[in-house]
Amino acid sequence: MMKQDPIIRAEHLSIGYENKTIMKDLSFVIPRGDIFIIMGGSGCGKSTLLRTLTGLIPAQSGQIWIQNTDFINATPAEKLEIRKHSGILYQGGALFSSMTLAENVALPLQQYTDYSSDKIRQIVAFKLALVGLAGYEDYYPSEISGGMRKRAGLARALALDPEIVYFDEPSAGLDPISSKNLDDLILQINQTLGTTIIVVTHELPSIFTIGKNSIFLDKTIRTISAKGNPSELLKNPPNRQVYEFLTRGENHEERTK
Amino acid sequence: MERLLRLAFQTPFKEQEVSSPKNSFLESIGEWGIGFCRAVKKGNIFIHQCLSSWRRQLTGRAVYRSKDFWLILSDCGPKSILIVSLISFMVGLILAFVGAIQLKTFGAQIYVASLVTIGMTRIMGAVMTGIIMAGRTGASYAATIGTMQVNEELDALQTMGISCTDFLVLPRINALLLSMPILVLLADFMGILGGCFVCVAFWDIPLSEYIKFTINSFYLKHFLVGVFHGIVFGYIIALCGCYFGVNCGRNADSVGAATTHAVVYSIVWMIVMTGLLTVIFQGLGI
Ligand SMILES: Nc1ncnc2c1ncn2[C@@H]1O[C@H](COP(=O)(O)OP(=O)(O)OP(=O)(O)O)[C@@H](O)[C@H]1O
Ligand SMILES: [Mg+2]
Repeated sequence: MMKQDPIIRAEHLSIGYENKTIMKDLSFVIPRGDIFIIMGGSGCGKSTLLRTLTGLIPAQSGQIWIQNTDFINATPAEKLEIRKHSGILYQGGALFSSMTLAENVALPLQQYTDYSSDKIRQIVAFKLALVGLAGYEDYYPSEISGGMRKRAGLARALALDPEIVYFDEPSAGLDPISSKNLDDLILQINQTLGTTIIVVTHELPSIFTIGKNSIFLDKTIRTISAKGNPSELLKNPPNRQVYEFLTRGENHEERTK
Repeated sequence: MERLLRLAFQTPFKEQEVSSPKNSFLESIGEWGIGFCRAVKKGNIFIHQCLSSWRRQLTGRAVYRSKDFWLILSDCGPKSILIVSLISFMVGLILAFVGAIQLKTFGAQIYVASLVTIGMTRIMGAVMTGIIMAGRTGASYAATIGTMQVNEELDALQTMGISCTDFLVLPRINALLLSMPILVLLADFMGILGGCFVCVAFWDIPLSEYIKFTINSFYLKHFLVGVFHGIVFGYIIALCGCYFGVNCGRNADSVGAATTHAVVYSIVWMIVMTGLLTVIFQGLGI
């Protein structure tokens, strides 16, 4: 496979629930090894887009290719193969509360591989150390803080060395320092492992530090209203909504005067 | 004050969506009908999924953690013993009291023993256990799985390629199927004990007489019918609890709604099934 292949390509995608369309005509390309930001106001459908890309809800129309597989018409076996190569960090970590951290991280390994339990234990210890949670193997999710829970969720998402990792609002509910540490971790993973990273966020500092590419979902026109590098977008905002979003509501007219 | 008011009116109301025009009467009946049919379809799909999970389990392909199963089993088995015992003891006691007052007019007080035995073993033991377990275990199933839905744990399972009916629903169904018959047995025994207590303590019936009449009116078929009801109820409670948990919304309110629905629907379905089973058993002459 060529390095330049886009890892995900969406064309004229409509997303929504049952008979309610939330966003339509979404077309974007995510290059391999990118850090791709999905931004937009609250309730505009960012999580819905993420759920569609990960196959939790069906797309209403349009097409998605993930690693050159037509994801919408994929057979269950193909979907499983794609899922095996993607990890997701949910908003609150989504750790299973009846299991210890080690068991949580081990679950995808047990599900998708037939490694021996010794090998699984080694991988689990390594992944937990990677996110700075070495020594917390036997803790339950209820016994650790929200930020640690997120990092443990990340360890679980990274368990199978995925090629794509999705993050749903990684910095929501974290203090500025923890969220900066998480950003550093994301950058580090991207640089050392070459993982493609897709982040839903509205945290401006993260958007500018980690984002290489981005799309802006506009609730009023129900589609993408801007694409590109976030810093470039700030320099040449294509429209008022994007400018206001990236500057926390500064008035566009005043600036252009 | 003036500034406050001005501020309040300045706030843009962009977010507000246009409320849909009011539906006509016929339209709302139609909507209700469509909603009802959708719910029936969803319920049937869920039952089908559970049955196929069960089949997979028989061939050893459904995976869940045995640790989870033991935890759930200990919660709905041993930990329910006390409350089931207490309630069925009281039910036996009430049956005996009410029955004895009526039977006394015929001087047939001793038949209280038969009344309590047949009543408890055939149906009351199972019904009381069912109602307790619906409130206790069914509600806890719905709340646990509903909370998992809110925390996106169900999404995480799905994206890991793990079936949530295998992983979450199956151990819960198994735990109830296993513990219900035993709890019904216990309830039967405690009910008879309650009746015995009333007769011996209040109506001066000798203990030996009571035991004799109890043994005389203990039929294996009544007992088995009761246990069968218990198993069916266990299945209904587990299904309702898990169904409303899995189909819970994504906020804390919906967990409350899921719990309420789980209890109400399991009790309604238990009563409906009791009616159906009674007719069927009548037809079979059991
Ligand atoms: N299960 C659902 N069924 C129907 N509509 C839903 C459902 N979940 C969300 N919605 C609607 O979809 C819209 C987009 O929701 P979504 O969660 O994708 O927003 P978001 O961009 O992630 O917002 P936030 O930044 O607050 O997380 C909302 O208007 C919401 O009302
Ligand atoms: Mg969201």
